[in-house]
Amino acid sequence: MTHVPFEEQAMAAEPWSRRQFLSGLAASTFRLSMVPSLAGQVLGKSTSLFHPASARRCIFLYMSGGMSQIDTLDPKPESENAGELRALSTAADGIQLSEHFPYLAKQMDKATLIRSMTSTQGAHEQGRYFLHTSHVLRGTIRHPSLGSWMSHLQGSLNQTLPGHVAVGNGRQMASCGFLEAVHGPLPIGDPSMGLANSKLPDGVDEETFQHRLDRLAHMNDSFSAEFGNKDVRAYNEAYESAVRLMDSRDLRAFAISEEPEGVRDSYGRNRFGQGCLLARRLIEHDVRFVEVALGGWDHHNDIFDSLEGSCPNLDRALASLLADLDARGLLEDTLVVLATEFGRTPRISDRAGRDHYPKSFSALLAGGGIKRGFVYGATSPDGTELEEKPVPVTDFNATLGWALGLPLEQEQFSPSGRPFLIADKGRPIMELFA
Amino acid sequence: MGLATVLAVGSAWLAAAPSPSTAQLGLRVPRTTVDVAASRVDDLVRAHLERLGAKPNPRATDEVFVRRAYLQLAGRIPTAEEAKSFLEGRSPSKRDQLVDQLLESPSWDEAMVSMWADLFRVKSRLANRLSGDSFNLWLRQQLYFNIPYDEMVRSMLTAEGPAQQRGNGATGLLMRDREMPEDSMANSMRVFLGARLECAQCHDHPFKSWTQREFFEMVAFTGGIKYRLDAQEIEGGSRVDRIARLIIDKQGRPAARAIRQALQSVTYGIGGTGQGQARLPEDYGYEDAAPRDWVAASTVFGAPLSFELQSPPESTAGNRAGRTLTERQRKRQEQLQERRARRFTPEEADSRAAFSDWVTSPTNDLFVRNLANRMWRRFFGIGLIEPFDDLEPQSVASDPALMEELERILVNVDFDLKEFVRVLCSTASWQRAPVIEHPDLSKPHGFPGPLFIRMSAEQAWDSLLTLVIPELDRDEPPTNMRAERAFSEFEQLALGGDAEIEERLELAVLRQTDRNAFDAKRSELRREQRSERNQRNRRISELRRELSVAEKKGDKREMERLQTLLVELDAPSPEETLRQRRFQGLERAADLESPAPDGHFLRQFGQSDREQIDGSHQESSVPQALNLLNGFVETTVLGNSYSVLNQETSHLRSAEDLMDYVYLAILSREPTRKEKNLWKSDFKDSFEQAKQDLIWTLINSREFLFIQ
Repeated sequence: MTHVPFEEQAMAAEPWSRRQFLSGLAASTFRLSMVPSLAGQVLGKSTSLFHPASARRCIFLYMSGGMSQIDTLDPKPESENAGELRALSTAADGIQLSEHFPYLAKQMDKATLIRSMTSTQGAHEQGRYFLHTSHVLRGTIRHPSLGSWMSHLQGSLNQTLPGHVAVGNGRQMASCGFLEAVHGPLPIGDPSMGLANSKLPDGVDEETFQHRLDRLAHMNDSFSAEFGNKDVRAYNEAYESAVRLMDSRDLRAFAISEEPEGVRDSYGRNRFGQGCLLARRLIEHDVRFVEVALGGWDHHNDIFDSLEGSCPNLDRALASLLADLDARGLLEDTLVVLATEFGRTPRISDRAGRDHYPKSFSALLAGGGIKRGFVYGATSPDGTELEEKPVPVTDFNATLGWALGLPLEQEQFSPSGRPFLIADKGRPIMELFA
Repeated sequence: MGLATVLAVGSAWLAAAPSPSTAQLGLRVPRTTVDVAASRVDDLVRAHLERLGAKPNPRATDEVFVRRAYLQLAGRIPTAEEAKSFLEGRSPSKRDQLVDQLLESPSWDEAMVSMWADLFRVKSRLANRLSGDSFNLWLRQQLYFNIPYDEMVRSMLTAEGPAQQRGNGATGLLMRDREMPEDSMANSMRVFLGARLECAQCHDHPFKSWTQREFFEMVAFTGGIKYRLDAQEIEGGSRVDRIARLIIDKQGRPAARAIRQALQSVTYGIGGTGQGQARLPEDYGYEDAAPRDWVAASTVFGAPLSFELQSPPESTAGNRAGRTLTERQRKRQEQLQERRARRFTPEEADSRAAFSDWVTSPTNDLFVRNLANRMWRRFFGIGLIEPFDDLEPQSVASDPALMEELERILVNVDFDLKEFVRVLCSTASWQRAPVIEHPDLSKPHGFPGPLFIRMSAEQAWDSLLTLVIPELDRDEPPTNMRAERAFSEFEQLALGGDAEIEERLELAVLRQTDRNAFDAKRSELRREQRSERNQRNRRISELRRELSVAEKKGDKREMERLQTLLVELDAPSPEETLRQRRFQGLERAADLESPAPDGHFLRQFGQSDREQIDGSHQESSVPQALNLLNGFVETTVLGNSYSVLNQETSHLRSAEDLMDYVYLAILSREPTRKEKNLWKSDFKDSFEQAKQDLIWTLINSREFLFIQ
């Protein structure tokens, strides 16, 4: 096979890799049994290798194209840069959102806003890559995204379902990078279609299927007797898992049609809304990391008209997701992230649009130990300057990594032996944690 | 065979070599010469196994061989007919004949292209107005016409011109890492020489002797490379530029941006022949030079090749009269000189060509070794040197004598990939039963036979199509619809009439300035196109109807007239139309978008995302199993009444015949007695159901997915 398993390769290369292998082992064995007192000491200072995760799972809502901060999470109603847009008061004292977010406003007491995000990357592909991996896009390597790191370092919580799922069309944002393919996201194009090929096709009944499986087992048994190496055994297991999954109750995680009509409506009857609903169901079934993408934010022209299309879908879906997770007690250990590759120019262009603005933009975090009803960082009254507490993308990712219990200071190695840190040089922002 | 004989064989081959620019569709080395080389390889393999205390595997059965040969050389399993004709053959040399036959078949490029596309990270879509399909097409043409490998590599490394202009596909390799000349150099070193320099991009290499400065001396070979061309550098560019300026003058600044974007499909491309020097990075931290200092191109290993540093012109306004300058004047002089140095642009010095000659020289050990090792690995599953993509000048192969022999053969066949593969596949070593357990690569390993491996994603997909689409193989040079679209976009903008160019540019401006008007205009254009298309289609079906009438009448002259008209309309053949209708979306892996979209069968089964070099994999997964259990087999093989399996079995009435055919078509062998007995009762119960169950079972079997 082309891919020698990552660990084996790592062990072959001396001497860093060996150290990495050993500490990797320690990380997976000890993470959950960490003594809280030690973690307490660590939290007081900065970060250390081991600490208890405040979140076990993550829903990552990715706004593709560059979401305008001034029209969404960082409104400036007093400034001419706001255009016609007004601001709304929210359930969190002193926090305002743009008028496009009436539903989210009611849930703002559950979330934290970061209004001082900053990136070094001003082009879409580069920005998207940087946000997902904490590393600058290079031609010589592909870094894993956060969900793949989680799958690789923490394993699956649910043995039947994949550990990492990506919902939404468009080009793949999350990737296993240089890790094994199994850590990459399972792509789900249309959330209402469920998991592809997980049901018996029309015209094949249970009896026929069982009979076929029986015949298949016959063939494979004699084949495996002669050719049963590691790869063949892996296929035997994949088939067993697939058949188990077809019978399993966990498969229902994909069936958003089981949700009451009212719930489906509340998330919004569009791909993103239904994707968020699917994310909630997957999280409930202990899938570790679900990314849901919403595109169409690249508003170079006529931004105010376009926002009337983009914002309501986000507003309803995110608000319902937060309310729903909270009501089910899932927000305690589920980290919800709303992020974008960069912001948009606060000044309105002569084409009534806004261009790319990596200098400052906004993000939202909720659940998984994050403060409720809190704002971190600020921009100037006209939105053009980042005035307080800048959060570089790497610090943002370090914060997510910290919440999810990922070993931020432990060197990780690509198969060729290059050392990396999960969030590069990013430091978690402890002030965001309750 | 002694060294002298080998050399004699070698020189005979060199004499037979064509001039490197001649396309070689057919095989040109005499069979007997190939056999001599193959047996020399076999001797070395056997001797090495003996030293390791191991034995070669027994010869593979014909059934195993025919399947392996088709999968590796045609990219798919053999059809039932193909398997049967080979198995029934009585000639003692039928294996060599099959190898030669497959190497000369037009599907060779389809079988091989994924290996190179994975290596060069070929992607259909590189940017909004930049398609990578012209690179894809170029690569397949190189393989189809069997262009010698070194020539292929030189074309890529020295490519120049607009990326989307017809015939410029070779720019694709450098465009892949556009605006990143350092990454591009690191990747070139890796794919062509197997050398991993990328660490030295940011600091001295931690494990190897390569310094960061040496790395930038390599980058200097591509110094001054441009990824956007100026109007004057493009055929027809000055005219487009003039028209664009007129529009911008008329409509103002917002139009400029829109036009710049629209012209990207013309301006993307590679410029500059290499200045032979480059600057160190801003953060260069070593003592031997300052940040931003110029360094001259110089090779880091292998044959020495260096360029002289060009210096900025001396100040002419200098101290002409030999007067003593005041401190202030001297400072001013220095500042001027510094500014001049900063603005200095070195002359183009053809350093890219020199670099490409250095890379591809038959005396460049790593170039030859990397290719020989990769090709060996492609056919035997494991390289002589592993890891196969981390070579160093001092890397030692598990069997140095065999490595050396393969390198010699590769040079002797003058980098002709088909002839090299022909030798590999003619060895007794490749025709043996497979090695089941993967060897421990930390110990010296031999090659008792080729490795037992899972089909690649592309092989699995194309094999399934073999069970669905009749006459799957193409018999003409490769084409690519997406590349054609990119070419025509370039041609319409760069080479169209003035009015046409103006119209297109104004449309691009409209898109930015008045979205509603643009949408209206666009739908109007689409309506026009649609109506033109419908008209053409109606005309084609009309002509076809008339043709069939003429055929019935036997009116030869009328038939000829109608056929000419159909050709003029560029009408697809009726078979082609039928094929499209019956097998929609089912194209061979090489013809699909690169990489296939997320969730596609190919991606599920490990097709590379074409982001990382050699990014494909053959790991198992649950979605793969689900797809074969409940998806593809049911919808596309069993569910399509036109599928090969359904068509060819529709007239079979006995369980015996049916089993024979289905086993041969899917597994390239006859059913065993035991298997026949097992299925017999099923066929008695319900013939049709048993047939479907059997087909489903065989395709889902491990035996189908693995190559023995």
